Amino acid sequence: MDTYIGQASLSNSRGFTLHADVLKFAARERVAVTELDDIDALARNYRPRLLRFVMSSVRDEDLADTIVQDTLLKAYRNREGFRGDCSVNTWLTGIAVNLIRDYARTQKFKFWKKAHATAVDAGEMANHLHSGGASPEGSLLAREQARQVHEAMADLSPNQRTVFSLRFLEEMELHEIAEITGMPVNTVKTHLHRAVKSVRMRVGGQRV
Amino acid sequence: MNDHKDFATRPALTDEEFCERLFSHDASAADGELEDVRNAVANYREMMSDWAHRRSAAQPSLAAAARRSRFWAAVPQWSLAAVAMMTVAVTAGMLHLNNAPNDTTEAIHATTDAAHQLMSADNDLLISIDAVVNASTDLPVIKLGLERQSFADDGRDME
Repeated sequence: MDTYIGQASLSNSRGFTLHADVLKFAARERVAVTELDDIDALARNYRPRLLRFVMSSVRDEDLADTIVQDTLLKAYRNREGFRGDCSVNTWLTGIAVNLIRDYARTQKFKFWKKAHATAVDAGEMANHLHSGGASPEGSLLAREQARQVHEAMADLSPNQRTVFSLRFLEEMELHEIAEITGMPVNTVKTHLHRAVKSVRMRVGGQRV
Repeated sequence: MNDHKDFATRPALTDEEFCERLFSHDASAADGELEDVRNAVANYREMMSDWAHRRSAAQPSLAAAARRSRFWAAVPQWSLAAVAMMTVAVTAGMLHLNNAPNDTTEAIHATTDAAHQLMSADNDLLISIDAVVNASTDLPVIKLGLERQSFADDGRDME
C-alpha cells in the first residue's frame, strides 16, 4: 500500500496529475487493510458469502466450516500481502478455492468419501427457504427447484461446480473466475456450459 | 398457451446461448425453459444464502484462533530455521555424550589387552631365559655325583 501511494505522490511532485483511479484504489485498499486487521469483522462481513460458496462446492457442512475458518485465518495472517488489486471478497474467494483444491488433493479419497457420507440434505435446507409471501404452491415449487439444482450439482466435476458457484451464486464475471481459479477464460466457459447443461437437463428436462 | 406455441415453433437454444442468456437477466430474451432454470438457480442461491447466514450466526469467534496463530506468524522464518538447527545440534551432542562411556570402556578394554599381551611376552621371555640357563649350566654338585634326586632322597631321610 505504502509503495503504491508513494509512487503516486512521487508522480505528483514531478508535475503529473494523479489519476482518480489511483486515489480510489488507495482509499479502497486503506479500508480493506483496516477491515483485515479485525478478524471478527472479517468473519462477520464475509463468512456467510464464503460459506455459501464453499458449501456449494464441497457439499459437506463440517468440511465447509473448516475450509471457511482456514480461509479467514489465512487471510488474516497474510493480510500484509493483500495488494488491493481486487476486492477483499475476490481475494478471500481465491484463498477458499485454493484450500478446497488442497483438501481435495491431500485427502482426496477421505475427502470425497466424507463429503458423500455426510452430504447435506437439500430437502432440509430448502425447508428454511423464505417463500417471500408466495403461495404454498409457489413455495413448494421454489423448494423443489432448489433441490433439483442441488442434485444437478452433485453430477458435476469439482471444477464445474466451482465455476458454476462462482458464476451464479457469487455472480462473478468470467475473467474474475479465470483469475481466481487460474484457468483460461475459455476453459471457464467450457466448464460453465457443461454445468449449465446438467442443470438445464435436470430442471428443464421436461422441455428439452 | 401462446408461450407453448412459441416454444414449439422456436428452435431450442444451444447450451452456449442458454448459458449466456441465463446470466443476462434480459427479460425480453426469456422463454419458458430459460425462465424456469433462472428461477431454479435463484431459488438455489437463496436457499444456500439462508443456510450460510444461519450457519455463520452459530459459529464461534475466530479471535482466539487468530491470537494463537499470531505468535507463529510473527516469528520470522529464519529464526525457526535457527531453532531447528540448534535442536539438531543439541540432539547430536546428547547422542555423542551418551555414546562416550562406550568409547571409554572400549579404550579400557584395549589398554587391558595390551597389558596382558605385554605380561605374556615378558613371561615367555623369562621362561625362555630360564630354559637356556637350565640347559647350558651344570650345577657344581652334579660333578660331585650328587643329583637332584639324591638331594630329595636325603631330605626325606633326614626328616
